[in-house]
Amino acid sequence: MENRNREILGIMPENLRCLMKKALGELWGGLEEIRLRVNKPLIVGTAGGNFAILKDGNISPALGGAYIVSESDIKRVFCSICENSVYAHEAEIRQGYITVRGGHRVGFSGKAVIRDGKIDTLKEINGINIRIAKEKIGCGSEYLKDITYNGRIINTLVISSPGCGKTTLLRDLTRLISNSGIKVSVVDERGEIGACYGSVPQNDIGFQTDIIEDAPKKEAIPLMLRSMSPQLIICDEIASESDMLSIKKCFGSGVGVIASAHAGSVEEVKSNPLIRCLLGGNGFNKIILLKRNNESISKRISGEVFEVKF
Amino acid sequence: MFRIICGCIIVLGFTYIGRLYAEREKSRLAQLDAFCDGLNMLEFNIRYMNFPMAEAFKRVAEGCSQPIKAVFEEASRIMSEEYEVSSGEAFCRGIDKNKNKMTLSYDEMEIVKSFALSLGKGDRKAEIVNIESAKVRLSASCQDAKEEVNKKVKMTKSISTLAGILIVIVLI
Repeated sequence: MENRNREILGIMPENLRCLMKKALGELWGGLEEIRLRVNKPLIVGTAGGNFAILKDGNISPALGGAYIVSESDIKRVFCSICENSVYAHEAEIRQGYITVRGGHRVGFSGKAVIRDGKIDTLKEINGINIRIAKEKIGCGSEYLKDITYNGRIINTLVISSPGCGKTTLLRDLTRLISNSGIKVSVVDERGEIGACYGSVPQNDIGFQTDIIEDAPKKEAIPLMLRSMSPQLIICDEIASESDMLSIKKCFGSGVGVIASAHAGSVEEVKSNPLIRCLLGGNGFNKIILLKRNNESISKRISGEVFEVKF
Repeated sequence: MFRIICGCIIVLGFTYIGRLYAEREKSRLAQLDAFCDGLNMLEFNIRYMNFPMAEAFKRVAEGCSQPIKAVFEEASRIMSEEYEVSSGEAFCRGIDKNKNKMTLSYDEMEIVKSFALSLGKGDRKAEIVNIESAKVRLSASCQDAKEEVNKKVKMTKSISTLAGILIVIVLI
């Protein structure tokens, strides 16, 4: 946890660093996100709710006396996150977030610059959301037996609303399956599962795992199939038709797949045209539905395992 | 006998001083070339490899000779270890720390510093344009310096030896 604190405080300017060191104290363990908005209170989100950081370094559920984030604070945090090299993070800024050392995802809001009908970049950043990455070693153990059959991993889809621990669960399942001897390839489009810094994954993803980061699934999945001979492919967030098509190719090639998607219930998944065609038959036969857990970080990820039936 | 020996020492001393000055002029040319090479490598690291500035500086330092290597190494170290230091500031501090080892002229140092101030602030195109502009200006300086240095080196060596001989004659 000390490393994680250093990673987060390291991207803050001096004034915010001192304030947060004092304010967060015992809260570090349960910290989920930090929100900075121009001319608005500095707010932290935990499993137990949102708190404002006050000017005197205390925290409070009420906003009175809160430290107000300035435009200069936002600019300095942005420069720090970009490692003073905006050009090096152009592609990520275009997507609206950057993954920093430690696997923490930093999202931005601001004015979009449009080219050819698509977002080319963001300027005049007015909001930053730092989502704290967490490893929960062992959280996948209770699900592993339900998604294993005769020593093979059943194609599984992990679903939930945002912030319920899909990526955290995928990470631990990767670790457990890889350490059981199965060759795993991770297609980590957003750099959150392995959170590589340089070439080294910051998270424990097992010793039989190969990982490709920052590449779209439609390029990365065929590459890993061709070059790394995986027995299982794990990827995060099926979000587009090209993602769906890439995963469909795996089903026919004898390679297992575990992936995640945003959905609040099994019915929602079945009614989603993008994902529905991946269910059943050769495709996903198990769904793990995660639920929001308001307990502290040390507890399990709560969820249920469903079998896919039509 | 004693006078002859002293005379020789004086002439050799002045000749040596002249050669030192000539070497300094030659090293100015070598440093300008090394700087242009460094900028080429920096452009490559930014345009194709997309490394953040600290990493790009480090890789450029690996391919450069001293003292330009020391400038990029120091800039990389500052950006990696200190908080809230812009690329330009880190580079300027790298130059300042190593300016005793550098023999660039005042104008050439100004070109380098103005390049440094625009570093790390824009998108990739802006960075490339900044580097290209610095390369063009330094290449022009390099051309002028080549002609200048050749003349200066010959002149300095001759003048220093003659000065030594003159002083010996005066003393005699």
